[in-house]
Amino acid sequence: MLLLVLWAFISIVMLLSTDLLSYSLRRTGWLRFASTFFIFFSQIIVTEFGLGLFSALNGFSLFLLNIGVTTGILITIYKVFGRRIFKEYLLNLRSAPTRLWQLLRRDPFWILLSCVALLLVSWIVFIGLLFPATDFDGNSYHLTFIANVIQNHNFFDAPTSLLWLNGYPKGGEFIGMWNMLIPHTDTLVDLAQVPFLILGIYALYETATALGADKKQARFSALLFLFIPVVLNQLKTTYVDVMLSALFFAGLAMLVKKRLGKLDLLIVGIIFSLLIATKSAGVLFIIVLLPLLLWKLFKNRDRKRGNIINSYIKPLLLTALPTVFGLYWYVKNLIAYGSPIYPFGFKLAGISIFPGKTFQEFADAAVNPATSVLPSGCVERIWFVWTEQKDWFGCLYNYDTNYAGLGPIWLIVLVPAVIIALYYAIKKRNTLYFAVTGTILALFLVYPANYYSRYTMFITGIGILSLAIVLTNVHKITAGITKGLVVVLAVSVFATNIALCNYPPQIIKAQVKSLSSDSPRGEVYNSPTWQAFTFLENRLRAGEAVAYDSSPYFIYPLWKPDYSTKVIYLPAINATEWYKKLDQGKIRYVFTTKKSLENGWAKDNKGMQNIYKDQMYEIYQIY
Amino acid sequence: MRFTKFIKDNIVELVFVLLIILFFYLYFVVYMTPSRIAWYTEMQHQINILIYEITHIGR
Repeated sequence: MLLLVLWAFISIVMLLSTDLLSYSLRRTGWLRFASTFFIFFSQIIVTEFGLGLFSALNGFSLFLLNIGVTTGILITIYKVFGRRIFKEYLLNLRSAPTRLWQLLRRDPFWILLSCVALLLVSWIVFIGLLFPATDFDGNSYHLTFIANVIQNHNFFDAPTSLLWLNGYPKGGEFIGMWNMLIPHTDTLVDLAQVPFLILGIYALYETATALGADKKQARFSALLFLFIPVVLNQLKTTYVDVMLSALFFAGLAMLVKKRLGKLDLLIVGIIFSLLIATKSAGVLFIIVLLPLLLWKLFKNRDRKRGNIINSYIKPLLLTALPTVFGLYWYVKNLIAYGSPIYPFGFKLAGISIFPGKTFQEFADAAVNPATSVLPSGCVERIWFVWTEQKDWFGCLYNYDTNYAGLGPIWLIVLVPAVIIALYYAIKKRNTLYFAVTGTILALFLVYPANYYSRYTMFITGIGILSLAIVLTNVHKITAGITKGLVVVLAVSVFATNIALCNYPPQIIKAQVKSLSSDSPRGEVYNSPTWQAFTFLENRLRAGEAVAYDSSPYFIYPLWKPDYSTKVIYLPAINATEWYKKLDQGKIRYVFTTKKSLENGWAKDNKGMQNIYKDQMYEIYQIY
Repeated sequence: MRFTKFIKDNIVELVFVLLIILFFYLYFVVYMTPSRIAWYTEMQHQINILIYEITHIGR
């Protein structure tokens, strides 16, 4: 509990100091929010990276280093701007709620929608705090990476049999890690995407106003990003798709500003850096954003005194500076595995450029045409998913469903809004609208497996921006009716997502009961999926080591919740080598998936006793 | 005449409303597949449990 308080304290202090810095630089509105947000997260990532590089990354060192950096920022502000800026800033903070209330009190639809949104996010945060991360990818590799950092104090590739663990870029994990290293618990890690939801909503609002929408309508429309079911379901996971879409929206919001200063260009660079460091597909996001950046630089050029170096080269270098930082994962993968986007390969016009299966081939293999209910045509698949014709093993929505996810507001209100906004954009020759929506659409078209709503939730951005423009241009009554319908649909989204697929009321009740009886992970880990891990958790003593095999599903739950145990993979070409390594590594338990190579080797060894068996796993104790 | 003028003056808004009605129909009528109906019924069941539990807290 004390560690959680320390984490909250350092987070608030860092946030306030970066906001004070933004305020001191006379930044207002979106620009102040963006610089505060991105400097805050840059500080987190850079300090984690710096400590990890020297194998000194742990909660204590991270806390101390950030106290030092924040003190440095505050001293610099004091020296440059004087004591007066602190007083001014406090006054500004104090008056913020009054200014916000003045702005919103005449906007009943927004207040109504905000109330539903607030209730929904509070509910998700409550579930997030109550339950450990139970999502598939999190327990497979997102959280395993962070637990490896806790175990080894660095972020270098540890031996593993799981391709995704060492392959994917880890920008998202570095953000999640902040919520885990200092508190030394995973309670908050699956809520790491919540701040990015706010970023996405604010960025959409800002972009909509830049496209000519009325502020009131932009505010209402931007909030609809929250009511996309796949967004809601992802908020209580360790996935990174909401993060990625929000970063893309933030990139758009920066690039539609009239002028880009030096700090703005750096922030665009930070956004690019985070995009590529979060997912390999982030490269696609940057490729579609680049024409907008170049167009902006062209418009901003000094016609009289400007030359190519000042107008293009210098601003592009400023943007490239932070972007290069995000390339670390690609350079590492290229050197270690021969492909920068490992575990994926890359083919250009059928010719293999980097070895391995391409993303499209992985995605195609995941959808078996013989068993999948998805139609085979690209357009038919998108239509099938957008009209939400199939549930996901009993739930209509789930954080990883490939049958639904964008919800009724997208199809019923936002899609028609796109068609009507096109008319207004043509009529008013709104080139910026075409540039922005063209960017989003281009990304959607080039994105592999774009029917998958969790990958392409950013497409709703077109609808949200369009709705803001339509509501600005239509009659008051039409706008009122549309907003009324949206509120009704938002309530329906609320009702269809309350259980987030995995957390119905009975499970919540059981979890509260079990947590109050000192069970570290609670009742949810007594389900068949996790029973083997709970069994092992109860047997493990501090300092003991567990080895996993060459076909693991989940690795993260092999650690005890206090990370006092070790989890390792021992690569071996035959049983003899493996036994030797088990002995050298002082391994106490072996956790095997049935039919794995190591499962057979463990069965053949008389020094290993089977202590647990279920349909999927077998656990062996070494004597 | 007045009706024609009304249509002409408000054609864009009318198309917008008609599109919303069309897509509402598509989503809630045409594609209300058995699997979605089953899920909504389950959702109603869950809400009822939730309401029951909230109203019985502390009893």
